[in-house]
Amino acid sequence: MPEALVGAIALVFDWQVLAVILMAAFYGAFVGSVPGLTATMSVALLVPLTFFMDPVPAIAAIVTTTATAIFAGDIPGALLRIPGTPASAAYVGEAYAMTQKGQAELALGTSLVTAVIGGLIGTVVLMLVAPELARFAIQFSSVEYFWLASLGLTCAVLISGGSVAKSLASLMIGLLIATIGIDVAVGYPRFTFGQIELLDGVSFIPAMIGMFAVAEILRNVARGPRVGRPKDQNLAAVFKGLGQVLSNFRWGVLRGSALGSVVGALPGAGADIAAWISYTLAKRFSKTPEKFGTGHPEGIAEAGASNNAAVAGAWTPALCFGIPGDTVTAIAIGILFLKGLQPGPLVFTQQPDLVYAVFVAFMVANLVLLPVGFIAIRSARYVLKVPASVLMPVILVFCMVGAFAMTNSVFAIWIMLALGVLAFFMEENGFPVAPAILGIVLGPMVEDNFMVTMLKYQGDLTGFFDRPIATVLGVFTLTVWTLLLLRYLNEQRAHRPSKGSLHAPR
Amino acid sequence: MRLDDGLLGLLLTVIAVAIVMHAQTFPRLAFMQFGPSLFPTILGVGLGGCGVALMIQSAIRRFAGRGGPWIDLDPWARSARGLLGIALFLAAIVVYGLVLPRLGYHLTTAPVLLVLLLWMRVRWWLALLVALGVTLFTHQLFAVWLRVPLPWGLLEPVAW
Amino acid sequence: MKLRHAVAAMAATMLVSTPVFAACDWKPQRAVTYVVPWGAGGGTDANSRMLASLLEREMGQPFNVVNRTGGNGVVGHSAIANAAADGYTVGAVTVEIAMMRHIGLTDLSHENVTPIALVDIVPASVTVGRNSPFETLEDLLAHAEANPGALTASGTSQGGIWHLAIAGLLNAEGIDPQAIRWIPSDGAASGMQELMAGGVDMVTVALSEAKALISAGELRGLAYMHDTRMEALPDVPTTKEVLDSEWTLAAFITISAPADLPEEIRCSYEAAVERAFATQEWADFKASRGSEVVWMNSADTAEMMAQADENLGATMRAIGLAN
Repeated sequence: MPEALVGAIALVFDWQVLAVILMAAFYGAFVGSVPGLTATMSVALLVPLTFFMDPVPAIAAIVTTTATAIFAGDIPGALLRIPGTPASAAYVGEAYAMTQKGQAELALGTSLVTAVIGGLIGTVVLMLVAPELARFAIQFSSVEYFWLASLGLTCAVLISGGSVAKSLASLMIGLLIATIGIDVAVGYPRFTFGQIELLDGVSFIPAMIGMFAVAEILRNVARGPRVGRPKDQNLAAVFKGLGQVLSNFRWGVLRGSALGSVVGALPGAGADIAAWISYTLAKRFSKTPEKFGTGHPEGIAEAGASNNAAVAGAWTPALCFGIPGDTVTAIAIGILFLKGLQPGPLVFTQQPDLVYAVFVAFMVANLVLLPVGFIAIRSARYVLKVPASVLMPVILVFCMVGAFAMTNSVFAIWIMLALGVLAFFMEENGFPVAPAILGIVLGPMVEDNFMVTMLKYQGDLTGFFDRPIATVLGVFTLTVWTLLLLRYLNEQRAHRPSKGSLHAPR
Repeated sequence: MRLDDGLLGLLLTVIAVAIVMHAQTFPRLAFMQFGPSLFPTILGVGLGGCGVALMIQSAIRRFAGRGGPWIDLDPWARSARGLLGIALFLAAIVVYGLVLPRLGYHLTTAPVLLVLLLWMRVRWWLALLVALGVTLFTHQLFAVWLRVPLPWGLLEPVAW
Repeated sequence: MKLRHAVAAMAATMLVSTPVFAACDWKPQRAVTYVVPWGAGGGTDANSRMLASLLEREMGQPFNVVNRTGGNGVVGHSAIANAAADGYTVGAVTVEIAMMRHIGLTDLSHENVTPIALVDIVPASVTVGRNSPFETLEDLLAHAEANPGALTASGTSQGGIWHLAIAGLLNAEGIDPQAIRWIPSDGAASGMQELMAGGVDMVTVALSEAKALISAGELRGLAYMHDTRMEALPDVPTTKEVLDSEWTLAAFITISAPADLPEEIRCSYEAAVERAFATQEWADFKASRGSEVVWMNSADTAEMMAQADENLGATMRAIGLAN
């Protein structure tokens, strides 16, 4: 291994490779910060370029683009409440609340530095235990995924403050939106009203743009800019006060990185789900959970580390078995094939140089992220200098083009509009939107894996506890649900007379 | 526009009943007792449950004499400008979606943007400048660099 | 270059032997949209992106690949069929064009598109886990026949092409097509994950998709649903060798345009694709994926699509997936 590592370092520390990494970092930062342009799309655009590259720079370009794009998604999230990529959706409300308190630089600095830490830890995990982690991940069948997704749904209840009935209703709305489209069991088109564009369900990116961005624009237009929109945010001081934040939340950052590495390694789960779970864990184990949602960096630190660690994690099954963890690694596998590299269990013994080159490229990419992210944040401050009267219409145009870009049809604009109005109405009436977003993300995973499991076991419910990992996950999930229910009932009994404000605090 | 929890609960319940009823029309698996309707039905029942809970909570409050107005209009919802602003932005999205494939990207984006900017009381020359600048820039960005096939519409003969 | 162009164009016109004279030197004046009905990272996407980048060089304009996924291919195929037939929209029409109308999701068929050329042929396989008790396809079929409903297979959605592969095989062998239960999956990769996790007994995905895991010893290929063995996996027997019915099934990927594409544009594309396929890059690309370079001109591709529509329709009716 050390020999291969030295060889790999020599391969990556070539000025051409480093130049590719630097360019890919700026490209990723840019694409990630534009809503509607996802990491997948940016990597797909790189494919023709990689045809003419050597394997190492080609891999380095992909790795760097994804790592920076996931971080850069936080920038519009913090400044405008519009997550640039789905992985930022979990804590976009928190980051935006910090901006409104005049702490945009702390929010973005936190997410940048924790992204770098998470990315580095994720890479180390990949280097040390990739084959073992892959062996573990490959044991997940539909049953295990069903329990994992169900556990993820619990996040909806744990993260949202306010009325339980309204949080649950919001989750149900999200899950119902996710049932639109062809069903997995028999292929029947549900709630599509004859629209073929709805056969695949509601496209997540336009939905997210609508629920965050359009709803926010409508609020601004209705009320004028939201209270306390800070005019002069000094984004120069990106790293000010960070040391304190990092040392306070160091265990959270570590936990987020570890969790991100594992969740990322599960094919089908990824950076966005990792971020949701980490944000929830941060709140659950925080000494000050009441500060969550009011502009508190703790959740951003943990979830920001988690989603970047997941980017590295996704390469685990890709390298070890040639099974892609997400669409980005699916594209990457195709490129590896083209470069004569056969991902699979043998790759570690047959071509260790190239495997370690992937690891080293990840290291360098995450280190480069620090200066590039800093420059990106510094440039983004100009956005805050633009008056809201100009900004709102321009953002709306970006949203519409971004939605269009996702599906290449105006249908995405209708989805964006419908969900934007829905989210606006929900928030006006005290329904948190985060559970609905989570429902849209996890809905297909919950339902598809449930139905597939039922098909496998021919309707026998004991099938859900038939396998060791499934049993552990299942018992754990059911325990958490029971505890939550007991706690809720207890609270109801204790607080009944005093509960009764018309609108839940937002 | 804020509705009382009782009204919201009623709304959710009605929607939930409609969803559950519609879901019963889905086909079933031949060899099993459930099918595509299972999840929508469970979720519909859950949503209806939340609706009923909201109605009960509201009723308890009203019984205790702490009920609020059924419909509470924010200041913006009473002002003509607030309402018109919302309507205008929503209309802009609708018009954009309808017109984009026909007129093409430039001829749709620039006018829509201009109207919205003027509504936001941006000075006319600045609005014009921003509308044109943003249109050309976003086209370069999305269509040329990022290869999104934005429609040319009427400008197809002069497409670059 | 010019001479080669002319020769290729002539060859192309002669091959299709169309009575209409066309110069076959149409060139796009602006970017062309290349619609792929399947997701980024899959086989159709990889083939199409590679071809798009080669066509870009042949035709001198950008070819923008867009993934229009959903509805088991209905969304993307509709986007191709409904686009203007002006040469500025082409797309990857796949085997599903011959299946979707039989399921009843859409009226779309091969008559709504103009095929330009065949891009890839992707034969199915029967692949089991490394700890599977089955060593040969005959063992597996005998077990399935004796214990109907005991075995499960996966690899694509309900009624997808790999579902047809196994159900059609059973039907051709005179076994109840339901004897092996189909467990839907998101695609080949998640089907293979399910197989490795022990969730299903076999996958019937393309052998090329399972190739890496088979050569690594993680999975075992029992059969290749094709008439000749795969060069990269010579130990996997073909169904033609081992089955009485000689059942074979392959998915295909084409490059096609909307229906009523002007002859001039069609033959220009056909010639450009033929030149692209002759390049070293294309050969290397195909070799990297363990498949061979195929070539079939427009007329033959159209003929193949019509044939597939008929055959697959019949199979789907036989196994109860269509009425």
